[in-house]
Amino acid sequence: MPGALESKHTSAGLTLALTLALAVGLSLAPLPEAWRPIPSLAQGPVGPQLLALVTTSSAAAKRKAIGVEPDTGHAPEVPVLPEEEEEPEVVEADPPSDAGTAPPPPAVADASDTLGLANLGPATLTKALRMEALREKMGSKHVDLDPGCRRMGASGCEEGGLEPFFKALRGLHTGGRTLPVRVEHLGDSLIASDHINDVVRERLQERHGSGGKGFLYIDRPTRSGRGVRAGQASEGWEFIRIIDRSPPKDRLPFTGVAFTAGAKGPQDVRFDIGDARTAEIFFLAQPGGGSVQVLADGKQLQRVQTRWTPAEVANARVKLPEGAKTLLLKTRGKVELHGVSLENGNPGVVYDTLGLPGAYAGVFLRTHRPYFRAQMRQRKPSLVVLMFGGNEAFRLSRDWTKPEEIKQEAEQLVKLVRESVPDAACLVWSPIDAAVRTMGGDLVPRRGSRMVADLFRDAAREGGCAYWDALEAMGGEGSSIRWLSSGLLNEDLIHPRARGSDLLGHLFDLAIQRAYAASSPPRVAAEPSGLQNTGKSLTATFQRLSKLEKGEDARLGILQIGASHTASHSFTDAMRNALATRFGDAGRGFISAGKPSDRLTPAGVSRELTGEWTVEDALQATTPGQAWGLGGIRAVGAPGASLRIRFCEGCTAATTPPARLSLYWLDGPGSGRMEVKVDGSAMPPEPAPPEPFTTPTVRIRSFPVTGPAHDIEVLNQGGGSLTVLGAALDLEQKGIAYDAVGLPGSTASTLASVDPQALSAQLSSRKPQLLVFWYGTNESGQPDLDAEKLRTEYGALISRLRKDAGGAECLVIGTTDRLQKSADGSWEDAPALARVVAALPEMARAQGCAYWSPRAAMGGDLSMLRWQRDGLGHADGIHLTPEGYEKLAGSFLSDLLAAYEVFKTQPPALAAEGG
Amino acid sequence: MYFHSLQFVFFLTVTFTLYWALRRHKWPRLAVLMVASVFFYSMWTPWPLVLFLGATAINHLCIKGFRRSQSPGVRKALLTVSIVSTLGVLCTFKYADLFRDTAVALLGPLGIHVRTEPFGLLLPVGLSFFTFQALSYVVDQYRGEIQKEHSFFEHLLYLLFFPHLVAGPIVRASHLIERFDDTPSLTADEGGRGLYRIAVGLAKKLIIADVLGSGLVDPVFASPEAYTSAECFVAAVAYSFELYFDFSAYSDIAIGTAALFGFKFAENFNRPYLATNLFDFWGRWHISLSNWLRDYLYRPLGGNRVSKPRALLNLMITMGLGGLWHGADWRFAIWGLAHGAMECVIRVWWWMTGKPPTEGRMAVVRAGLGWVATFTVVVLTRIVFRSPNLAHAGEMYLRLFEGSMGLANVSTLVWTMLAVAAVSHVTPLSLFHKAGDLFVRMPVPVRAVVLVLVGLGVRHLTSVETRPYVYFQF
Repeated sequence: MPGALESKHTSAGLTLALTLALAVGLSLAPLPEAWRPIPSLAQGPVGPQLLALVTTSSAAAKRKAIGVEPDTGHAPEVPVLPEEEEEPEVVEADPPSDAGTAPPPPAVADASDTLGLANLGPATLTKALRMEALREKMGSKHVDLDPGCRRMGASGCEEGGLEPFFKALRGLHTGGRTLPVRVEHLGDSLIASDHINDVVRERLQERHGSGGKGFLYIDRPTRSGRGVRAGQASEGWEFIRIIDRSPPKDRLPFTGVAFTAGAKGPQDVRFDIGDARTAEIFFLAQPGGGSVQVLADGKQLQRVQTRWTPAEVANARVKLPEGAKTLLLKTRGKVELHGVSLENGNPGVVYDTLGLPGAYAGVFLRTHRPYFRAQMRQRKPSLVVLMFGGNEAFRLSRDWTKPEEIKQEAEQLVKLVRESVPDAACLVWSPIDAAVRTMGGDLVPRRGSRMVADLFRDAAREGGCAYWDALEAMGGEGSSIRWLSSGLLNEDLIHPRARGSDLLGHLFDLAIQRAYAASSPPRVAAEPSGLQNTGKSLTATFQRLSKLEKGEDARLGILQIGASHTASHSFTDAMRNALATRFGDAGRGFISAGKPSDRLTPAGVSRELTGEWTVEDALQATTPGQAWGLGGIRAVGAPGASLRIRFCEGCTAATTPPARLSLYWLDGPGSGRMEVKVDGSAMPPEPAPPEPFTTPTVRIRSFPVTGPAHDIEVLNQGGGSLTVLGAALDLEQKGIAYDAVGLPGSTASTLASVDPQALSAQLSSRKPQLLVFWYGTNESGQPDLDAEKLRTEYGALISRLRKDAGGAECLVIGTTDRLQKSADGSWEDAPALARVVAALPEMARAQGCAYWSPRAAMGGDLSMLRWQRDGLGHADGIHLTPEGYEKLAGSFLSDLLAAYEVFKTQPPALAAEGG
Repeated sequence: MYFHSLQFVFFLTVTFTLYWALRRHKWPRLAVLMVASVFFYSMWTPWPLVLFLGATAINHLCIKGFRRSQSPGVRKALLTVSIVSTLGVLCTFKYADLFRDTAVALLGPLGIHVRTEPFGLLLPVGLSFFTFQALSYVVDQYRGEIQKEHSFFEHLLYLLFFPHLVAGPIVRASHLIERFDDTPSLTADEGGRGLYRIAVGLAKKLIIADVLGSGLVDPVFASPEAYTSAECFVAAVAYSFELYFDFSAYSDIAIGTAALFGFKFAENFNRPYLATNLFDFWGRWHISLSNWLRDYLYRPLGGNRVSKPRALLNLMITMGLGGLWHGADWRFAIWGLAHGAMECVIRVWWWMTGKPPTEGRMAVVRAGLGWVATFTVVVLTRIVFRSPNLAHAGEMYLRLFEGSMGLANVSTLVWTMLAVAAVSHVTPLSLFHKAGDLFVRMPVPVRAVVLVLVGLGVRHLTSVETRPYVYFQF
């Protein structure tokens, strides 16, 4: 009967096959989903869907039952953190570029930066742009922080939820804050391995400076995950964790973990010191407590006693020696440590990660409240981030908790934080999306995530905290399924993998940055860096440079006129040296009369006054329209007094080339008789004018000399006072002469008030082909500055002086970054800085002048502080040190020559249209 | 791969088809089963298969050795090698950290250093079942209860056969390996009943066990302080039913699946909650394990054919080790010892008063009281079994006996499933058989429709998420 037998076992097989066929058929039929045994089959081609069903089931099985890990001791009611995986850094391939064209440069974060990428370094910016590409691919979103409100007033919110944090960050830039800005980030397994937070920390510290590593656990609180936020502990430490099944009541610190030593003998823990200068040890002072020996590179620094009655949390701060590498804590007796904070003492950001796998808001409520409060206060955070919700959603999905309970716990935790550190801002995260696998093998969003997010948002609002909807940023409900398929989520369907965590950190950081930018008071507009308007404005200048470079006979006279930046000579000396080296030296140029000054020494120039001299300047003028030297200075000598200006002092006497030594003085009614000596030899007296001067008039006398090293001496032989404006030495050879005439404290208005004829006469003599104007810094300090007047007056001055100089080209240098101290001692922008920054480029453009912003070259907003820190900025927030001026001159020269190189590569006609 | 996954349905259909297509050829047929079994296990992770292969190879060589040896000493030595190596695998991968922790706790205070870092070895799925089945085969070979010497391939397939590999039942050689030579047959009745058992198992697991687990047991055991005493009590009862409906469901599916390949596995459960004493209970609960402990542990220790104190000791040892078999935690041993202690009390009582008659009016009363007492003991001791540690079990007991009332957290669905569980437990077996008969007599297309409807019903009635079988961890 084999046939009959076969038909019988075939019937079971047929039943199986028919059952499958029917299940597949019904799933594909146009029926309501409730009647489809395998709903996912209708979501695409049958073959791939069936394959996916089989493979995903396999993955699910592997995920759930790969083995039963030995009991870790903590509560198993919530998902545990998966073992850390080695994930190679993904380097996105650059998109193929068109043949012959260079790939586009990274986006420059500037005023149009709407994402929050500002102030990131090139490497970080490249990573951030890579994250942006990943975000686009995953459909994740930039979700702004809901700022919340800490204090409501009659007219609305008077203090935003994050204001204390942002104020602290601003203080880092303005110098008003000398303490680190600490962030305490309490959370669950998502941050337990410091993923997400590592991105945020790195970027915050890059933007605002680093205060160090911050708080570190003694050991990893759980066996899973990375140990980057913990020391290397010996084996005998015992943990008491708040996430344990039954943590002791009224016992645990704010970190949620206590590490105890004693039961298994002395224990130790090592930390890599890095750049830290202080270590703050958090511990429990308790009856019968032992001691902790603190060693750096094996050398004992301190012994901390932990015996105290009654038990209470305490901390000990230990200074670490310079260059120390390893911090070692050795216990003796019964000791309970909570962690160590390593900080470098610099004002910067410290970002603490306090993440415990399985934690939810209610878990941190199990901490001992007095300990929580005391330690939180000890950390003095500017921001507390509460990042829970994932385990709440998990518990909710299993009906282990209720929405009311979740909300109540969230509210209580927010309240606890606000009460503990009332001066700190707080920020609440929503849970991220997660998925579950149905019996049919489908992946569906875990229920409850959105509800928990809404509950947390309400708790944040009611508690005056900011709120960030990470669920929405991730891409909304269901996004975890996309993340899984793209390898951004672990197979547990809950925890993002390293790359997914980086994306979350990226989104969170940018949300903070955008909120920070929006919260700051209106800032000074960012200026474009580099030389502007070079197309037409510098054609003649560049042509002369080109000729000089080709060795043709030409001379380029540059006259820079301005205030203290010019008067310092450091900037112009650097410019002159660099240009003369490349294009040839046409002499030192004009030197204003005045007192002896060390600032002239580097250029080999000295001034000497003998007898009774009064050095006057245009700032002291009681009446406008007086005649002054180019720099707004004049030296008035009584009878018998003499003035000497030496050029190229210390130079070896060169006999070539022929040169011209010129003297500028004022002649007029009551002027004394003048004797001039060149190189010690008295020059024949100047013939008297045909008619006596009725007003002070500029007179110029030139003496033929050879070589650059000469001195000119002026003696008042009596008959009245003698007013000297300056002297100049010009070599009659091809090259560049760079005059620098500056009056400290002056403004464009100062120069405008000078007798036009006097200026005109001097300029006609100097014949510069390029006039460089550098005013603006002093104008920035005038609270009542009229920007329109500045534009008009400065513009008219430039126009006039160009004509006086015989049609010279012009280049306007804007203001440096000028700061001033506010009432609270912090630095703030000079009152009219924004107006000057806005006015000068416009004015320069209107006058057909090139424009260069030293402020942009310094780094823009509050760059003066960075320059001060680097020894480049003066303590007054206005001036630069000689090194600073040299650095700035380097930038100017670089931009000028870059524009010149562009000019050289384009025909003059095209060059005139460019720029 | 779970029995309750669609992947398993595909897998079963393919394996079934190939197996029966080759049914007349022994080795190809068995090869189908071997490949299927390896594939089935590999869906979790293939690496333990290497372990299983090695352990089986050692056992096989030992069996070959003692079968060929006439020397009692050599035979015993080889048996010892086999047992020690097999138990060594179990102890290493399952109990190493328990022993280490215990040594640390006991020896640490004496100043003796013991490694404190956990070994962290993964426990291969099904290791306990594999070990016990492997031991039973070796001992049966040694005792001569298995006449034939099987090939290594058969030996391995016997241990790896996918229906029982992961969570039992522990199948004796007579039910499996000794049937490998027979050309299999499958009547329409047997095939239908196999499918019926699978369908019943799926419904038991997915509808009743999972709903009870996720709806009440898990949350209450996670945070007993959040629930009233009454709710804790209901959760304890619900856990007993969850465990039964979960584990017996797996056995149902295993038995039904084996039946589809022409193998008849012994029943593993017999309505255990109708037991009137603990001996009766262990005769109804996880019968294959109870029988194994009886045959390979209790009786070799001397059973009850020794002095009375020694018999009681044997009982305690058997129950203690039987408890520890369930997990690497002393609370399982305590659970087993608690049962053993109560069995000792019963045994002593019987020695003193004689075994009570099973007939008569008082017998009914005694049975009733015995049922109440037995069920109560089973439910209460399972709190230790279910809790993650003894401290937590203590909290659960405290909460349970605190006396607070209120059942607001027990949902209607949970009540319904509890009622279904309880009623189905006392429903005469004949009704199940009749339902099976009805299914068997259905035409093939109707059976398919019924199975699909069962699947749809399960899909709608059960909780959203799938849950692994409770006994996978043992």
